[in-house]
Amino acid sequence: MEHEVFTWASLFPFLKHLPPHVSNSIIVSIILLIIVILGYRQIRKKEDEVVPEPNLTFKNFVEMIVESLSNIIIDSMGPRGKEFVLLVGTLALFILFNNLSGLVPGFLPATDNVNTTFACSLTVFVMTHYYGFKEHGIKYLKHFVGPFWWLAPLMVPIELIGHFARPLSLGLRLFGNITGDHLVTAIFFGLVPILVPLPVIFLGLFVAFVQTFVFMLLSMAYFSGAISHEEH
Amino acid sequence: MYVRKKKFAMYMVLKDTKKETIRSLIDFSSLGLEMGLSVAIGIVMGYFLDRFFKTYPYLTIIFTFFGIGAAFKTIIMLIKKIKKENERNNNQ
Repeated sequence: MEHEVFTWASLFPFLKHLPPHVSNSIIVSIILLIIVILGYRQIRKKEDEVVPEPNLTFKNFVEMIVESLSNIIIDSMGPRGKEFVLLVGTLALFILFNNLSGLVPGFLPATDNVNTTFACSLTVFVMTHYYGFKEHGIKYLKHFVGPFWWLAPLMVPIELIGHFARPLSLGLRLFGNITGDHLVTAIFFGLVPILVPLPVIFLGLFVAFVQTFVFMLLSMAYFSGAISHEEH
Repeated sequence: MYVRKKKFAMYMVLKDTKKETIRSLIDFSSLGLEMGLSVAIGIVMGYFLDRFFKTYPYLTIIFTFFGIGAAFKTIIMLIKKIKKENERNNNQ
């Protein structure tokens, strides 16, 4: 019994022929963009207001998101963390909204495709070395040599392998968790559609937040390792 | 008032330890995946270098050991990090 699976992407004429992970990540990005534009306009409008509003408004919501993100980043990276709020926060919001979109019927989360997760993790990989070279100049290569110069032929391949393992493990972890969660939910939904998939959906909500947090925390650890000044 | 203060202080300590526990949980959970992947990356790098230089078994074996070394280096770095954090907590 083959029948066409409904997706929200099929409602848009120009997204219909794209693969699902591309069209869904475009939809999620458009939602994020709308939130950003509305929040920016609200904040611009009420700039000189000192007393906060008593109940939760859209402006408070946007402020809460930005503030908690930057608090997490500055807590775990120290005062240098301010430079990374833009990059890490963008990745976190993109991944979080993509993960959560998997819980909405009609959405295939973009993060259950290897291409999306590796795009995120390779961004982190490239930017790590960019910030490393920006901070230390050509001396950044000393990080790869190890403690003694005569250990260099042994340490350089080991460090290279270790650095390649980082983006691979970041991308693979996110992909595996979201795919597994989505698949389990789909199978339970196929078996018993009433009440049984509810705990699995709750678990999916948990996994979406935890995986975003893990991605953030590990990429921050890599960034702070690249810009740290201590010898190791 | 005093009791409330004490409760609040306990709550803050609990919150801090909970945060640290989550951090270390994430570190440990990433350790296993990274160890396995570094061995795999070593083998794959050695295999392709062998195909390039046409020296079949040797480079694969050497890079397998490099991968195992990278896995052990991950553990050593994690232990160093935990030691540093413990020292910082004891000094406080």
